[in-house]
This record gives sequence, C-alpha cells and structure tokens, in this order.
Amino acid sequence: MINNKFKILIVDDNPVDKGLLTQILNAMGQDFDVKAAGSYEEARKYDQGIVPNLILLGINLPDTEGLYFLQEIQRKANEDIHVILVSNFLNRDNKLKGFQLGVTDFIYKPIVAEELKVRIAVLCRLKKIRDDQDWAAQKTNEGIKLLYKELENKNKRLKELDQLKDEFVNNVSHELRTPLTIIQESVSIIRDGLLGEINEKQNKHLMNTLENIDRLDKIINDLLDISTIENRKMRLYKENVNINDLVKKVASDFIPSVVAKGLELKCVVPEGPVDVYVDKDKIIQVLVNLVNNAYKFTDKGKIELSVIENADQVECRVKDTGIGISALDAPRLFSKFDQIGRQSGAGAKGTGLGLSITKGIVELHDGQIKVESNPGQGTLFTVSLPRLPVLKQYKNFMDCIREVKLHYNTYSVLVFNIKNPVGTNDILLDELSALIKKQIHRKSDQIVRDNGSVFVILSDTRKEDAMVVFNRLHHAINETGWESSHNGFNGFVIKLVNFPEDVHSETELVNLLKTYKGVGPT
Amino acid sequence: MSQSTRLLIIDDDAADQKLIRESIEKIGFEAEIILAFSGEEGIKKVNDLKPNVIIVLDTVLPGMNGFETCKKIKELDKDFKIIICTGIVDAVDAAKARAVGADDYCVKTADFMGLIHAIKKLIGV
Repeated sequence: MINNKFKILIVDDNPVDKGLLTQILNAMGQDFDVKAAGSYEEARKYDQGIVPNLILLGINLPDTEGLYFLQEIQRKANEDIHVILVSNFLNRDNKLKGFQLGVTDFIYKPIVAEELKVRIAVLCRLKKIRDDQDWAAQKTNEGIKLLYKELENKNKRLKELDQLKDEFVNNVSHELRTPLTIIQESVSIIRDGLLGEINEKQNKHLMNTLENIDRLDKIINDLLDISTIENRKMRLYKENVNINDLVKKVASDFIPSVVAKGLELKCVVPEGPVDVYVDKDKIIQVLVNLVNNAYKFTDKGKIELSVIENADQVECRVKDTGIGISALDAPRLFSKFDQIGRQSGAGAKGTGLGLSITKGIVELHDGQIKVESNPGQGTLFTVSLPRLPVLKQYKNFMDCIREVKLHYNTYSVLVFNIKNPVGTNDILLDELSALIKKQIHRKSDQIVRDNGSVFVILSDTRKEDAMVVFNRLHHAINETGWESSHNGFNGFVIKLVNFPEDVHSETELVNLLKTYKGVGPT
Repeated sequence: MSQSTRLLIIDDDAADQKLIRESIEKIGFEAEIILAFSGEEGIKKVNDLKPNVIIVLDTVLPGMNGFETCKKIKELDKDFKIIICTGIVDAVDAAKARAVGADDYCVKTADFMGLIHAIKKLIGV
C-alpha cells in the first residue's frame, strides 16, 4: 500500500476557484495527494510523472482547448481516470458531450464544499475496492504461476526418474540373463548324468532347480518385454497372416494341459481365411498370455477361443468360465505388477506383467483390448486388431514403385516369397537380399523388403529382358544349398510382373502380390 | 538493515516451519526465527518482538484461524508486517487477506520462492 494515495489534479484558470478547491480537499483530512494547475500547460507538466486518479477540471463548455485536453487524458490513461467538471453553467448538450468524452461527474460553481466531499468520497471508495480486487487477483496469479512452475519441475524430475528406472530394469534384466543361462546349462549337465550318476533324491532337487530357473527366465523375459514396450523400442515384423491359423495353433498347444485339468477347450473361427497385418510371433504371445490366464483362473467349465470378422477390424476373443474379476479390480487389470485375485489361489504364479505386456503389444498394433467379467461366472477378453487396406501393407514397396513411375514408362518386378514359410523367415529373407545385391549391378534397380516378401524393381526393363535377370537369380539361389542348411526350407516362389504388360494400376499390382504369397510352384 | 530482522512463523505444522527456516537460510538471509504453533501463541509473543519483525502466518491454524490472527495483530499495531502464506492459492482467500490488512499473500511451494520474494519486498531489498 505504498504510494497508493488518492491523487487529485486541479485544473482551473480562476485562481480563486483553484484556491478554494485546494482548501476544501485539504480540509477533508484524508491522505490526498493534491496538485493544482492554473493552465492546461501547467497541468500537462504535473501529469508527466504520475497519472492522477481524479481531475477536477474547471472549464466553461464549449471550450475547444478544454475538450482537447480531456481527449488527451483519456488516450494516455491505461487505468480509469475520473474527471469532474467544475463549471458555471452546462446545458444538456454540453453535459452529454462531456459524458461521451469520459467525464464522470459535474459540479456547479459556486462550489459547495459538502457536495464536493461526498462526490470525492464515493470515488475514493470505488478506487479502494478496485485496488483490493487487483491486489487479490495479482497475488492469486503469482501463486498459481509458482505452483505451476513447481508442478513442471516435479513432472520433469518424475520423467527423468522413470527413464532411469526403465534403463535400470533393462540393464539388470540383460545382466541377469547371462549367469542364469550358465547356471541352467550346468544344472542340466549334472541332471543328465553326464558328470556321473545321480540318485532319485538328487534328481528331484535338480528338477526343482531347473523349474525355478525356467520361472526366473520367464520373469526376466517379461521384464525385458515390458521395458522394450515402454521405451517404444519393440520392433514389429509385420506381415499378412491368417489369424485363424494363429488361434488354432495356440489352442492346440494348450489342449493337453487344459484337458489334464478337466476343462473343455473350444475354438470357433470363420471358414475362410481372415488376413491381418501383424507381427505373428507377438500376436501369438498375446493369445498365449490370454489363454494361459484363462487356464490359471478356471477350475471347471470351458475356455473358448473365437475370431470374429468385422469390416474394419478383426476380433479375437478368449472366454472362460473361471473365477472372474470384480468391477472394482477391472481397471487395475492391465497395470504393471498387479495380480488381482491372487489370494484366491488358483495356482497363480507369475510376474504380474503378462496382461500389461499383452496390452502393450496390442496397442503397438494400433489395436485395443478390453475385458468383461462377472465374478464367479467367467471372463471375456476381446482383442481388436485393425484391418489395413492392402495398399498400406506394402507401403515401402509402393513408395519405390511410385518413384520409379515418375521417371520411366515401364518397369518389371521380381517377387520372392518363401515357399511354406517357417520360423526362420527373417534370416532367410536377409540372406536372399544379400545374394540378390551381389547379382544386381544397375544403380537404378532396387531391392525392397516388405510384408514378408523381397522385391527387385527393375526400372525401364521390358518383360523379356527381366526374364534374363530372373533366370540368373534363380540359378544363383539353386546353388546356395539353403534347402539343407535351413530346416524346413523348400525354396522360393518367384514371380515376374511387368508394367504395363501385366498390370495397369497400383491396385492391380498389389492385388496380384497378395495372391503370390506362399502358394503354388514358380 | 542494521538491526537484525526477526521472523515470527505462526504455523501448526512443524515440517512447514522447518522448510521455511531452511529456505530462508538457503538464500543467505539472516534473521532470528521465532516459532509459534497457534494464533493465540503468536499474539502473545509478538509484542516482545517489536520492531523489525515480520510475521509469517498460515491460514489454517488450531483455534483462531490465520485471518482472525492477522486482524488481531494489526489491531495491536498496524505497523506489524504480516505475510499470509497458505497451502492453497485462492482468490477469495487473497481478498480476505487483504481485507484483514495483510501486507502480502503468497502460496507455499517447495522452495518458498513466493515467501522469500515477499520478505525481501517488505524489508526493502
């Protein structure tokens, strides 16, 4: 409240009135800061430093110089300046003009002290209310700014800690793995009797040790998975797969243990193939996690796996008749390390990471996972995976094709697919790409890997010229002996397509590519 | 400031008292610090501390609240300098602080920057 006095400027060319006004104000006994000027020029000088709260302006309208002064004040002020006109006589028009120019009030000469006092008191009270409001607003504003800054700092710190934690988990998991593998090897050697015969009791303990090593290994894998998902470092090797095959495979893997527990396992899938563009291994992991979960928490009844095909997405459902999840627990279901219903037994032995990994993988595929459950009646997990338009599945390839089309009127494409694909696809395709690279010498030709296929794009090449390359590559592959070095490898399906001889548009090309996958002889 | 400044902290939370003390020491500001855990206790102590005392007042206190305490102290002597330092920032609270004559109003943060700023302003640094 320093320097918050009510500042009044008197402007009157009549020295008597000027003196009278000054006297009245001083006599009010309030802490006013009063300045008096005998002319506009003098007033402007006072005005330079501090903007007054009130100007008592003694003029007789019409007075062009006075009006000009008024306008000048209003322009300059960034806060309210009250102006009271002290005047001999004012007609209605002049009064109106005054109000339009921002005049607050009028007082007639001869000046009555009481009237002036009352008017000024009102203005003082107004100013105080305004000042108080401004002060409170300013203090609140400062407080909010400080709190916001603090929140920002804390948030930053939390992010740093979170990153440190992720790195820590990642490093520790890797570090744990090496010694664990060595332990596993050594224990296996002893148990297999390679270092001398072992008795029944020793065997039992060694088996127990190995089982727990397996468990530890799984925990480490889970931790690594979750940290790669959270660091967004998990790489997906997407390709077109028939989801029915994956579901059926997982179901058949589980049948022995499910049957042993006295449960029924059902698998309902559409008749035709349902293609999705996903990382096969990761989606199998999702399905295994969900079925394993159902298996753990179901003591009687059945587990049902199903695939439902919609226009823009595919749903995989895992339904059980187990203990279920209460509505209270459902939101925590996918959070890390939370094991719901653990106290109720059902042999739940895990890391508590399974479902958060599952959710992470599904979301990496731009899919969704949801759960519906009734305690005591069972649980239904639904995983929805988007169906991508075919053109998007071959994005890398199509980008190259578009580039080629900009410069040439014709091109040929050699398409390599693995016949009856097995687990080692990626290694095989890597080796194939390397082999082709050695055989192709033209700079304008390109090798592209996309969606589980290898493409060789021969720009400005007619079909009969491309046939020469085709034969050369075919010959080179036959000489590699991959059939014997890669288990289950049966050779490649190689196709030759020419634009514009075989296909006339991008869509035609891609549709043709789809039909090539893993079927028929060359 | 030749005569050393004294700080009367009226706060029922010992942890807050400690934090305020530490923040003030951290900026190298030298002051004799006196503690009170309630408004009543603060009012009892304040008269012996004249002059050069800055009162740091919490709003939520056992018994008499911070605003009442502020009003009472200002009634004793309106030259007592009072900073209301509160856990929640709120326009109504700020207006109340103003109404009971507080010299400043600030929010408690981890580093008490608002409070330090207010103290510096009051002693004219």
